[in-house]
Amino acid sequence: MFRLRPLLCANIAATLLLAANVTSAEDDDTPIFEFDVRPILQQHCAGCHGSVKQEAGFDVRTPATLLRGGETGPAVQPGSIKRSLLFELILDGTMPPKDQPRVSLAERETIRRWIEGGAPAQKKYEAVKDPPRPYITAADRQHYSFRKLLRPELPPAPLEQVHTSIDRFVLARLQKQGIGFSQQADRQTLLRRACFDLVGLPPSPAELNAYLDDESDDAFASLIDRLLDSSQFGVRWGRHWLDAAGYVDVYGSDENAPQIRVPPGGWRYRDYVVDSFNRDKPYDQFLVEQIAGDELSNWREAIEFTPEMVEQLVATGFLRTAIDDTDQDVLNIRSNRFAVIFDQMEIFGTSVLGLTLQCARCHSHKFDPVPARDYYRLMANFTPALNPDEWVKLDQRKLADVPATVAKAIDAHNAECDKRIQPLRARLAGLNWDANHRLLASKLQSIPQRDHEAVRNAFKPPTQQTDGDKATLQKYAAELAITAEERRGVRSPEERTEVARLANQIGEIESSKRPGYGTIQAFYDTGPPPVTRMLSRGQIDVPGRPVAAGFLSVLCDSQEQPLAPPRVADAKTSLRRLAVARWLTNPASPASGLVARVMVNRIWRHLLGRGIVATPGNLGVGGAKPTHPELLDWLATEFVESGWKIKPLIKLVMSSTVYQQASRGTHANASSNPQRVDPENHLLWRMRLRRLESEIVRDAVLAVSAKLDRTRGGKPVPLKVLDDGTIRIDEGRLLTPTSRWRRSLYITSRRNYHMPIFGVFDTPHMTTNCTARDRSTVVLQSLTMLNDDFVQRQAVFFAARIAASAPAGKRIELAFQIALSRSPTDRETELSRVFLADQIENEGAAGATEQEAKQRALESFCHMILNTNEFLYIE
Amino acid sequence: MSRIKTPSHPRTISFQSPLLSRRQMLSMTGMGFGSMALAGALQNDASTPDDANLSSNLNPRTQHFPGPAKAVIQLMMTGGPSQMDLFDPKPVLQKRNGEVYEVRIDSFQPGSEPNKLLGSPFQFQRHGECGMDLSELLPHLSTIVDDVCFVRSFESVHNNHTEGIVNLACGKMFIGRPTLGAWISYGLGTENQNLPSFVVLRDPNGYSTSGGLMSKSGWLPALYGGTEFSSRGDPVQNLSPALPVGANVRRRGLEFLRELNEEHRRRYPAESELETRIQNYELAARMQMTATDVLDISQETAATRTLYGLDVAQKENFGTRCLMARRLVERGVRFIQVFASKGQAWDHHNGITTGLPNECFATDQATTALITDLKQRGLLESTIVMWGGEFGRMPVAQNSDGRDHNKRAATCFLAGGGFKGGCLYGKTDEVGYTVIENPFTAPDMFATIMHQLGLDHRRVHYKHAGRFEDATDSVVTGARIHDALIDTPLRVQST
Repeated sequence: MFRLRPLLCANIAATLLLAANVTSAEDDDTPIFEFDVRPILQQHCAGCHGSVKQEAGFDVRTPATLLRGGETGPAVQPGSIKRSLLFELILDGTMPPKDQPRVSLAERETIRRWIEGGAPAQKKYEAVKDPPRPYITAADRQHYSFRKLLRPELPPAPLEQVHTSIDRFVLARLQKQGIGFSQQADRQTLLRRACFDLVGLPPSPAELNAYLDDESDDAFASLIDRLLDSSQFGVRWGRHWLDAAGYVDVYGSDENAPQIRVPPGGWRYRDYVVDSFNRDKPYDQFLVEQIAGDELSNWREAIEFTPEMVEQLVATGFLRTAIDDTDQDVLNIRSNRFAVIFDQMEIFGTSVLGLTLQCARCHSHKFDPVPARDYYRLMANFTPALNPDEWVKLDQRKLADVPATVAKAIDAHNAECDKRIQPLRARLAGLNWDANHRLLASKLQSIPQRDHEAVRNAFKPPTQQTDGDKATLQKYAAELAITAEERRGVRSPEERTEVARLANQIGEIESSKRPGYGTIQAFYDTGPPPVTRMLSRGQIDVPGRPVAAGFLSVLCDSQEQPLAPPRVADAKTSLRRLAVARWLTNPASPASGLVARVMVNRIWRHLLGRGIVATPGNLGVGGAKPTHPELLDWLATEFVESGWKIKPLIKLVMSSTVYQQASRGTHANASSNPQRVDPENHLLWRMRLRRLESEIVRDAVLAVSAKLDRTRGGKPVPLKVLDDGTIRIDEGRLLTPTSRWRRSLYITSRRNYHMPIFGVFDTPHMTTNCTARDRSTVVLQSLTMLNDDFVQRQAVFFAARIAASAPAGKRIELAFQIALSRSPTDRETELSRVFLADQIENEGAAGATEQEAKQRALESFCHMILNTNEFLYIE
Repeated sequence: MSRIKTPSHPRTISFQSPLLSRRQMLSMTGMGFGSMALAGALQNDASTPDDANLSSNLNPRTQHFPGPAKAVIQLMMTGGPSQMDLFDPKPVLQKRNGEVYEVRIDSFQPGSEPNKLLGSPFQFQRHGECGMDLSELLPHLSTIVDDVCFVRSFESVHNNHTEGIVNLACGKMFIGRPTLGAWISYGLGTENQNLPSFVVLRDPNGYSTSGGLMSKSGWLPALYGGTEFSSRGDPVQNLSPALPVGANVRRRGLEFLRELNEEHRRRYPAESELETRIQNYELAARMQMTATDVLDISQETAATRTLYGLDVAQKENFGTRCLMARRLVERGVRFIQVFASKGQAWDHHNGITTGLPNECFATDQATTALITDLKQRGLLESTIVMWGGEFGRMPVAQNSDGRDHNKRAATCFLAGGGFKGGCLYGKTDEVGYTVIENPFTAPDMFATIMHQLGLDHRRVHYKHAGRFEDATDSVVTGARIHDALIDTPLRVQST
C-alpha cells in the first residue's frame, strides 16, 4: 500500500532580497517606480488593485506587492518582461478590462523599460513573502462540510417513536417546533415504496400477498434484505450514480439527432457501476478504482490481464464522461481540449466533492475557500492523462482488454490468416466466374433480345464493372441470378474437386484465427506529466506560473501540504490521481469527511426525496444549508466507520421511523398543525410524495404488462430517429426479440435526444452531469401517457395479462393489485364496474362484437389505470 | 426600478374567447368535466423578490418596465448567410475580384488557401427612404426595408456551426446554458395557457444542424424549453392516439380517470402537483383542439396563402411555417423559433451563384410576408421578428465559387417590437471580413431584445450551481443594450 508523504511545498517563494534597485540606478534613462511608474498604475489599475480593493489579491501600490503579485503569481520579474505578467496582460489587452481606457503606447514603453531596467525604486524594497495572507483561514475550515468528521451525540427522545438513531435527530428538530412524526404508513404502501426505492419496480401480486401474509415483526427488515440482494438493485442505484458521473452511452456532444455514435466498450463502465452496487463494493474502493483504477496495477507491462485489472481499468470510464469532440479534426483544437479537462473536473467536483470548482478557474472562488491556485493544482492531477499539448484524440483514447502485446499478436496472427486466405478466395472467385460465364447463354433467354449485347458486355467480374455495367446488370438482377447449385452443374469433375479443396482450406484457416478482444474506454496517463500552469482568468492562451500537483488546501491538513504521489520505482504512471483518491478516502483526512457527507446526502435524497442538503452537487458555502447538520455528520461517521458500505446504510435509513411514515401526514396527536409550521416538510414530519423518474415510469409500465426483460448488461439497445424526429427503439437491430422491453438503463442513453417517454419525464440533457433531476409537471406527460404508442400497446398487454389470469369478477381487483399494489376501495370497484359496462356499450355502439367490446373495454380500463396519478408516485 | 403591471394582452385567448365558445369546446373535445378555465392559475406572479428564482410555472409575469414587445419570432438561417452577397455590398471586393488579398484571411476549412478575393456575382440596389442596399436575390425584402432594422455588424465567437449556433441560442458558446426563448418564457411566462410558451417549427423533412440545442431550457426547469410543433401530420408529438380510440371511449376514459384521480387527491389535499396533473389531462384535451386549430392554415384566405408563397412549390415549406408563426403569435405564444430548412442550407462553401439564389427564393417572400402581414394586423408593434444565422461568410473564394465560415462579421436584421424601421447599423471593413463599427454580439442581441420585452437582462436570473446566473452572463460577456436600434431607448441603463 502506498503511503502519503506530506511535504513542505517547495514553491513558497523565498524572500527575495533585491539588489536590482541599486545596480540599475547607474542607468540614467531607466524609469523610477515612484516618479514614472506609479502614476501610470495609479491611473489605470489602482481602482481595482489598490487601496480600496485588491482584486485577485493583487495590489499595484508598491514595487514589493508588484513582485509578489496576486493569485496568478508574481506580476513583475525584474529584468524580464517575458516573465512579468503585468506587462504581458497590458500588452495583450487583457488589462485594463475592455470598458476602461487603454494604456497608451508611451506608458507601456515606460513600464517595459522600468522592468527591463531591473524595476528600480527610490526606496529600497524587497518582495513580500508568498503567500501574503493565508489562502485558507481557520474560519474557512469551519464550514459544516469541511470540518473533520466527529460523531455527534444523540439527542434524547421518547423511545416509542424511535426505531433508529436517525429518528432521534429528526424528532428533536420536530419537537422544537412543537410537532412530531406522522403515523406509520400502511403495509402495502411500505412494500411499494421499498420496491420502487430499491429495485425500481412495483411488487408483483405474489410478492404483495406473501408480504401481507407475513405477520412476523421482522417482515419489513427481511423484505429490505431480499430487495437489496436482488440483482435489479444495481440497475436502480447504478443509474443514480451514472447521473452524478454524467454517463451516457454516446460520445461527443451528440448535437445531431440522426447521428448516434456509441463508442466500443463504453457500456462496460455502466455494467461496472451496476455490478459494484450489487456487490456492495465499499464506497472508498469504488472511488479509488474510478479515479485511479489504471494506477492500481502495472497493466502496461503485464503479460496477462487479471479480471481485477480489467475491472479497474473499466472503472476509470468515470473520467471519460465529459463532452469530447476532438475526433473531428476541425474541433481538435486547444480550446476544446481544455474544455474536456475543465468539464471533467467540474463533473469530478460536483459528483465526488459536492463542490462547484469551475468558479475557481478564472478567479478564486467567490463563496468557497478554493483559490485559483488550488484549482490548477488539482488540474495537474489530470493533465498527465489529458495533456493539451500531447493530446490523444477521443477515438484513440481507449485500451484493449488484453495486454497491448497480446492485442498486437492477435492482430498480427489474424492479419496473417487473412493474407493466406486472400489468394484462395481469389482463385475461388475465378472458378465461380468461369462457371457463371458458361451459364450466361441460358440466362440470356429470359432477357429481351435488344439487351443481349449490353448484358454480355456488362457481365464482368465485379471489380471490373463500371457504373453503367452495374446499372445494366441490376436491371436484370432477377433473370441473371445464379445459384451455387447451377454452377456445380456446369463444372468439370476436376473443377468440383478444386472448389471443394479451396473451400476446405479457407474454412481451416478461418478457424485457426484467434478470438478477438474487447475495448475499454479507459482513462490513463498518456505520457509523462506535463508542466501545468495557472491560466490567467481561465484563458488558455494566457498561461501564468506553473503549479505542482496537489489538492484543495481547505481539505488538507495544512494549506501548503501538497499531495505527494506515492513513490514507486519505475512507475509508468504519475500516480497523481492515486494520491488524490487515497486522500479522499483516508478516514484521517478532512477530505474524507466531505466525500462521506456528499455520498450519504445523496443516499438520503434517493430515499427521502430531498437531501439533508437540498443541493446534492453543492455542499459548499453557496449551496443550501443542511436541515439536519448533526444527522448528516452522524450518518457520514456511521458510513465511514462501517467500512463505507452502502447497503447497510440504506437499510438503516429504511428502518427508521422517518422513512416509514405515511406521506399523507396523518397526525395522531399533534399539538400544533405541521402543515402550518412547516408547509414544505423540510423537517420531515411526513414522508414526501415522490414522482417516479423517467426510466422507472417505463420500467413500471413494463412490469405491469409483464413484458419486462430483466436481462442485465451488454451493449445498449439501439435507437433510431423517425422522419418526424421522434426517437424510438430500432427494432430492426435488436439482439433478441424481447430486448425492446429491457430495463430503461439498457436503452441507449443520449445527451440531447430521448425517447418521448424519457424526455417528457425529465431525463436530463447531459451536458456535464446531473446531480439532481428535475421533476416537472407538464402537459406533454399527460399526452404521452394517453397517446404514445408504447404506453397504448403495453396497456393492451396489461389487459391480456389480466384476462388470462383472473375470472371476470376478479379482474378489477387484480388490475389494482398489479399496477397500484393494493386492492381497490369499494367505491373504486363500483366506479370501475360502471366504467367497464359503459365502455362495452360504447364499443358495441361503434360496431364491435360482444367479445371485442369486452376486450377493448378492459384495455381502456387498464390504460386509464396506467394514467392515474397514483401510478406515477411513490407514496 | 418600479414594477409596472403588464397591460393585459389583447391577443390572450381564454375559454371565453369568441373564437371558441365553451359549449363548442366541450362538444368538440368530448370533455364534459372539470373547471375549464384556469382562472386561478392565471394570476400574475408579481410577488417574487429579486433575489429568488421565479416560481416554476408559465403564468404571465410583470415586466421590469413597460416594453413595446410581447412576442418574438426567430427566423433561423442555419449555415451562415453570406453578408457580402445579400446585405453588405463591397465595391473594393468587386473591383479586386480574383486578386490575392494582402490580409491573410483566417479560414476555417480547406479551400481558401489562395486567399483570392471573390466579388459578389449579384447586383445591389438602394431601396426605400433609408436607402438600404440589398442584393437582387431579395426582391421581396427590398419592398419593406423601411420597416426593418439592419445590423451589418453581428459578431460571432466561433467558426464551427455548433459553437456558433449555441452562441446564437444561449449567448455563449457553451452547451448547457438556457436558450433565449427559455429565458424569455421564464421571465415573462405566457399568455395562453392552452399552448406552450416557446414553440419550435422546424423543417418537417429533418432537423437543422444542432437545431435541437437551440430550444433547450439548459438548467432552467424543463417547462421553459421549446416544444416542437410539426407543420406536417400531428402538430404536437403524441397529440392524438397512436392506436385509434373512439371519441366516446376516450371521453368516458378521461371521465373515469378524473374520478380515480379525485379519489386519490382527497388523500393529499396539500399536494398542488396532483391538482396540476389533473388539470393537465384537461389541458391535453384542449391542446388537441387548440394546437390543431392554430396550425390549420386551411382557414387562411387565398390572398394570405398567396402572400406567403404557398402556391409556389419551393416556397411552400418555409412559407407554411411563417404563416403558422403568425397564427401562434395571434394566440399569445411568447417565443416562436422557425428554422429555414433542415441541415445547414445557407452553408455555401461552393456554388454561391446557384445555391444562394435557391435559398433566397425559398425564404425571401415568406419572410417579407410575415412582417407585412403582422403589420397589417397591427401586431408588428408588439412582435419582434429576428432574422439571421450563426455567422457570416468570407470575402475570399473557397473552392473557386464559395465562401468559408466567418465569425468576425455577419448581417442580421430585426423588425417590429419597437426596433427602428429603416435603421442601418454597424460597419464592416472594405471587404466585409471584420466589423469596424458597433460590434453587435449575441449577448448584446439578447439584452436589446429583452429590453424591448420590458425585461432587464441582468435581473432575469436564476440560481444555478450556487450562484445567480443572469440571462446574458453580463459580467463576463459585457452584454449591452444598443440604443441606436430601438425607438424609445433607455428605460434601463445600458451600463
